Amino acid sequence: MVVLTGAPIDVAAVFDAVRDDACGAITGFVGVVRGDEVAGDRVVALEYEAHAAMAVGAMRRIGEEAARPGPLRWAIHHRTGRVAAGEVSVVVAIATPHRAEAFAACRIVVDRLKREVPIWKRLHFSSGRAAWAEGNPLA
Amino acid sequence: MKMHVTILAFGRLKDRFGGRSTLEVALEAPATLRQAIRTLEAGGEALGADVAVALNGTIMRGDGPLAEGDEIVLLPPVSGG
Repeated sequence: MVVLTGAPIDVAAVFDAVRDDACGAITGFVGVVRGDEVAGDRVVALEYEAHAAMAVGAMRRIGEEAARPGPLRWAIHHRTGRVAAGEVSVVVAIATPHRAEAFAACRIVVDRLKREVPIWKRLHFSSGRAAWAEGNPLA
Repeated sequence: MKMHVTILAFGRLKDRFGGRSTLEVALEAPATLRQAIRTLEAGGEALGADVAVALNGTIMRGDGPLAEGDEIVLLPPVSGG
């Protein structure tokens, strides 16, 4: 299940969505906006923008491919818009019968998320300055 | 005869087009995707090898014919997560 949303993500609800009595393990990743300091200027928020249809399609493909090797339930929620430092920007939850598959799949999904989904972020600093994040060429 | 396509720019590429995310381009028909990109680049820098291009939602590594009303998306390096 994919959700691309401008509203705060309810982390517990994402994990609940993959819970199933056939799955004894749930692993997850919660991405939080870091309030980094860059040359004396502090990141106060990240602003995410997406090509919504392509981003949802890419996240769905990543989730479905993670589920191909065996039984697996998955959910990916990603924010759009402005997300303040300390707030959640992305949540991935994976449920499988046993833990090894859940740990492995979670890592693969998060790594692919960073390279294959058309989402961009702009750093907003305490000085009022803004800059686009460097990013990875779309894989 | 002229044909018209829509070009969407994201991330840092919006700055290149004066903050605009949507551009309308008129081309002499028949035209291809790469011709549209070259038209866009005319008078400025090339987009760069790290910019992916999608046609109607599908990433295109090569060239392909364009139809009236097609949507071309310019995708600079991504930074989700």
